[in-house]
Amino acid sequence: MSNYELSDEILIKKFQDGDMNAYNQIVYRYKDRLLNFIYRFLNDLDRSEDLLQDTFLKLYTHKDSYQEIAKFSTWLYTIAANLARTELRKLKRRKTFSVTELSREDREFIISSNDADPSENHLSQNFERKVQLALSNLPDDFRTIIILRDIQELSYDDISKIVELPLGTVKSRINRGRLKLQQLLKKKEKTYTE
Amino acid sequence: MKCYDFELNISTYIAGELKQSLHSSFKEHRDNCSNCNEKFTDISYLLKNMSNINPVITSDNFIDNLSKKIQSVDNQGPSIWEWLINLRPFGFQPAPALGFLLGFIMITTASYFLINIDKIPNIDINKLSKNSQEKIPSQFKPSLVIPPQNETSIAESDSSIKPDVSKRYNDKIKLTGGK
Repeated sequence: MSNYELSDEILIKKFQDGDMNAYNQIVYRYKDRLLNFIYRFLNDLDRSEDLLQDTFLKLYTHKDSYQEIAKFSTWLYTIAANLARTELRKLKRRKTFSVTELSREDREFIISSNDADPSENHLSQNFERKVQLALSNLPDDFRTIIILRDIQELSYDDISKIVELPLGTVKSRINRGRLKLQQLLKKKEKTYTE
Repeated sequence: MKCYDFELNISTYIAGELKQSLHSSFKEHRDNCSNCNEKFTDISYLLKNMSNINPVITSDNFIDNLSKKIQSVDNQGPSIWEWLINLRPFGFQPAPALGFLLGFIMITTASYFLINIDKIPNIDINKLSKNSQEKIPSQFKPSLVIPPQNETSIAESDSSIKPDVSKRYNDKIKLTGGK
C-alpha cells in the first residue's frame, strides 16, 4: 500500500519510526488546509506561510508527543491554532496589524483580474474581502471556531477537541459568532452605502 | 417564540437539528419578525458562500523553505536540555550522577573546614553579657520583693526558737449556726 492511501495515524506512526516519506506525505496532505486556516485567522499570507512552516517544524521536532489517543488532524490543528493565537497576540502588542495591509493575495488579485468571468469573480472576491475583514474584527475565540466550522468545515467534535471546549459551548459560540459576523457585515454595508 | 430564542436557534435550525416541537414557532416568528427574518437570510447566505471562498495555496518555494528549516534544525544538534538528559558521566544516569557530585562537594567542604579550623573560638563573656544587658528594653522593670523592716528575713531567723502555740487554743470558742 502506498503512502497516499494510508490514514494520518498510520503515517505519523511511520514517521515516528523514522520514515521521512511519511512526513512528506503529511506535509502535502495538510499544507493548504492549514494555510487557509492560519490565513483566515491572521489575514496576512506571508506571515501565515511562515507560521505554517513553524507548525510543520514543530511536528518534526515533537513527533513523539503525539499519542494515538487523539485524532492526528485535531492534534495538528491544535498546534497551528496555538501558534496562530500566539502570533496574533504578538501582532496586537506591536500594534502593527493592519487589515488593509497589501498581502500576496492582493497582489495576485491585481494581476489575475483579467479572468474569464470578471463580474462573478469580482463579486466573489468582494464577498471574500468583506468576510475576511469582518473575521479579523471578531474576538479571537469566535474567530477560531467560525473559521474551523464554516470555512474548514470541520465537525463539532473535532472543533471541540481542537479548542478544548465542551461540545455545547462550541455550538453556542458558533451561533453567537455567526450573529456577530452578520452584524459586522451589516455595519460595514451601512458605512459603504452612507 | 421571542427574538432572543429565535437567535439562539438559528444555527440549530440551519443544521437541521432543531426539535420538531419548535419548528412551527420558529417559522412563525421568522415570517412575522422582519428583523429576525433578515438575520436568518443573511446568515444562510453567509454560510452558503463562506464554504465557497477561494482557498489560498502555499507558494512554490514552500517545500524548499521548509526543508531548509528542517536541515538547520538537524544541524543544530541537541539542545542543552537534551544534552543534559543524554549525558552519562562515568556511565551513570543523570540523577545518580548529580547526587554523587553533590555528596562529593559536601564531603570535601566539610573536610576542608575540619582540617583548617582546629582551635576553639575565643568568646568574650563580658562583652556577651554587656550586649545582652543592652538588649533588655528600657520599660522592663524587674519585680523585687523587699521584706518589711520589722520582720526578720528567713535567712536571719532562728529555726531553733519555737513559736508559742499554746495561746492558739486559749481563745474562746465561737459557736456558729443553730439558734
